[in-house]
Amino acid sequence: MVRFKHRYVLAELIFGKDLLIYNITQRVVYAAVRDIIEQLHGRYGIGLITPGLSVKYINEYTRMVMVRCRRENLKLLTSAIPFIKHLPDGKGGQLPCFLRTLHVGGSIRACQKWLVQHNRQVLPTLLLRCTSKEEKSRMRKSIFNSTLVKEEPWNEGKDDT
Amino acid sequence: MKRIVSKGDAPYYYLKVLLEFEDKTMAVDVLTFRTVIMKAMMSMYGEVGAAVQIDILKYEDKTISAILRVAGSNMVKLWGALTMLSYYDEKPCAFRVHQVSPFLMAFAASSRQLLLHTE
Repeated sequence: MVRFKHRYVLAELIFGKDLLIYNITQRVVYAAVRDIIEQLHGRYGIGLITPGLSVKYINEYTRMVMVRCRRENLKLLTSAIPFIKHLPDGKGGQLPCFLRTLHVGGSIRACQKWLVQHNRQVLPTLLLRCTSKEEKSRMRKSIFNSTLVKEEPWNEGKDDT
Repeated sequence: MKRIVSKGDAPYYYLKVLLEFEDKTMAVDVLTFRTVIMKAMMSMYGEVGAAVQIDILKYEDKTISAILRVAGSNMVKLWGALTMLSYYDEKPCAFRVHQVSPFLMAFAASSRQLLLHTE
């Protein structure tokens, strides 16, 4: 069976300060990736990466970006992502930022599974950074909720011996 | 009998090129020539391509021709980039690649420059 295999790169947007960025859309990240590949690898790079390149997922609150590329061009993409130095904000200026690559997966589902596990690990460190008591209690509640394991209902008298 | 398999990448490849401008009265010195080559590699292969080591072994001012040397693995890139260059500084120009060889000796006598006397 012949089909195009892709790789999904999960990256975290790091800005200078913790702001809620709602002007960063999929289109903005796509344009930034394409521009940096043009700068580093020229027209040849653009020709290599454009089929198969797309931004599959972006979350403004957790600042997660998932970029897809063909399997053959993974190295091109992962080596070019650290060169992205700024993203355009909606008003015509440039926001200095950095895309930190967290994980490379073979499918969107694999990346999502890893992301859930990663968020579970990150929550306790965020708890340490909480300043107010109300924030701390809310953090503790969300950690508690995310680490609960669903209990199987115990069936009494099911097996007859 | 020993069989030697060549992978195809010679250590260096040499190119005999000529830069032709539409304006025949253009004077190009060797530094400008190197910049033209760099711009060609930059537009085609980006900054990574422009960083490829290309040496000008010999340069002729009058004819704007040169003998270039490039690592074997980069030969195809250089040749392609030179082919795709059509403008420098808004002046139309073109690279004519006369001869390409992994051996510099091949440029000593080229059958292209042979003058055949038919009498």
